[in-house]
Amino acid sequence: MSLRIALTKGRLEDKTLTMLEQAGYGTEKVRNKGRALVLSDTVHPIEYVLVKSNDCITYVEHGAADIGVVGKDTLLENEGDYYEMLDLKTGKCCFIVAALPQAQLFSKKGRVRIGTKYPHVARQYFLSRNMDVEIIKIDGSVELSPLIGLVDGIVDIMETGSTLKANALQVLDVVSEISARVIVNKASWKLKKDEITQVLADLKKAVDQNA
Amino acid sequence: MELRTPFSCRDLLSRDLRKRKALCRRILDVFDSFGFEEVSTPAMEYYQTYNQAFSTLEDRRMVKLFDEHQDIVTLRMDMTVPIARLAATALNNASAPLRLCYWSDVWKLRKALSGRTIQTSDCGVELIGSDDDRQVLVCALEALKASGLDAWRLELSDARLLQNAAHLVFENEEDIVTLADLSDKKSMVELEAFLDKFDLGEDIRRFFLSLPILDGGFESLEQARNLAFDEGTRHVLDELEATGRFLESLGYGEMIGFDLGKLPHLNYYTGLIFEAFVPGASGAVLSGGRYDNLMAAFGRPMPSIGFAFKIDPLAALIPDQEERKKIVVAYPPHMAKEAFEEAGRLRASFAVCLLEDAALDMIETRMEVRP
Repeated sequence: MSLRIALTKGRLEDKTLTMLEQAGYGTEKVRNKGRALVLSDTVHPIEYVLVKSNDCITYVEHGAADIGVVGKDTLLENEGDYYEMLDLKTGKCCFIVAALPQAQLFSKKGRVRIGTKYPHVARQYFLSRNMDVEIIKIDGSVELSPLIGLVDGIVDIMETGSTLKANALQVLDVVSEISARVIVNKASWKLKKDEITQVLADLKKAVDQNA
Repeated sequence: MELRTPFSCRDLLSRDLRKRKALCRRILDVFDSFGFEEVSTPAMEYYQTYNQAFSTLEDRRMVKLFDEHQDIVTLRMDMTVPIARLAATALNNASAPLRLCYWSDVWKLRKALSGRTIQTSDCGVELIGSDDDRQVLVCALEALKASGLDAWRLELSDARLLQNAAHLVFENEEDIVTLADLSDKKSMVELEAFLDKFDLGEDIRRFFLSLPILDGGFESLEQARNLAFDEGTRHVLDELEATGRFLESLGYGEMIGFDLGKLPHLNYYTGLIFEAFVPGASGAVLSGGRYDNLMAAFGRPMPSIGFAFKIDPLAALIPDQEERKKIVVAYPPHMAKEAFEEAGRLRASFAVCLLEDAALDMIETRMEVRP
């Protein structure tokens, strides 16, 4: 039985492919994809699809893909029905709370306004701190929103922190650590157990080598 | 005025409906052959009924309304609770065990735009007042066989596997809920991080980390027995093995397996739990288990077990039936009586539609494909 693996485009794409190559998978066609949307592995009976991070979850939940590789940030924002079975320990970054120093975010009285691309993560975080917040969804660069007075602070992903620093934003807290995760469709896990276990074991080996 | 269905509810057209009816007929016939009696309950239940039934109620997924006294009413989110209520009230005097079955719609709110509907169709049985798991499992296996699917697999586990062990180790009920939740999602990364927060012996850690991914044949029970750190868990594993062996001896060996990481509805299921999977469906198409505490919550303590098929994903897997034909009898107005009489005769063996056509001189009949 063949497997279909949904890979997240963009930030994680190259890192995931490198790990698959390390584990002996034939990803040439994905590397040189052109306009093709479904790409086959040159070694194993596997098909790859490259998708946006949110869609990765959707495809796996519905079983259109058996396995997905997606950032923990996306999983935290979209709780869903799948098995999260492996941490690839690559594509590492974290969710942070940041604000201008004068905003006094955690000592401010009354309602606090937070800009973020991740409203669910932001809401959960501030709920756990019993803070009264209004979440404002921002789609573009979130760092801008406190600079021009739309919000008091932000919840966002931080990789290097250089954008924050260049704009005088201070990291106040780390909400959670993020890395690439392997998720598995529930029915596929039952019906293609051997194939999936093999992929997980191969990737786990690559994770251990990189450790 | 926009004309559309609320939430993501959908209309069903003839082709889909016939497929479902045929499927459910086959399943209900099996239930009937096991002596289960079909019942129907109202689409609505009091919120209080559900609240009494579940210690951890998913109340944000219930569709809620108010009745004339401003009491909260919900669209039923499953059929087990309504049937348990029925068993505790209208069938209060009926002698146990009660064997009841149903084919009914249930409602659970879903994330918008996720491709799932809130109204789904369940077809299942409840055996109330009996501690026999085996006849219900055999009934499930026979119904799966009758459903017309090529391949499927019934997986068994026991809710006590995690509950017993967790209660020996963790004092805080919240930690046990977290543990069960992470195990159920096979969220191996977070599960490890969670266990790291406690000072646990290596054997305990290994047991909880292994349980979610222990599935397969009888060998998985053996592996679990080697990992178990208490007698109670070993006893549960022995029971599971005995149940599995019994089914094997009846010739069901090829169709069953075990998934010890299956841990749904903590505090609801009290013993055996099982689910069936089919290639092509993205989740379980049948699920069930033993729920010995539910009837006590309704004032009539009785051990109970049941399961339900999820008809929507199953029906989607059944291939379209062959084309159906009908006869159209077209007639001029002055020959209406003859046409109706002719149609009446033909209806003994065909579907017949009548069509008045002033342009005709005499009756014409033709075959047409039905939609």
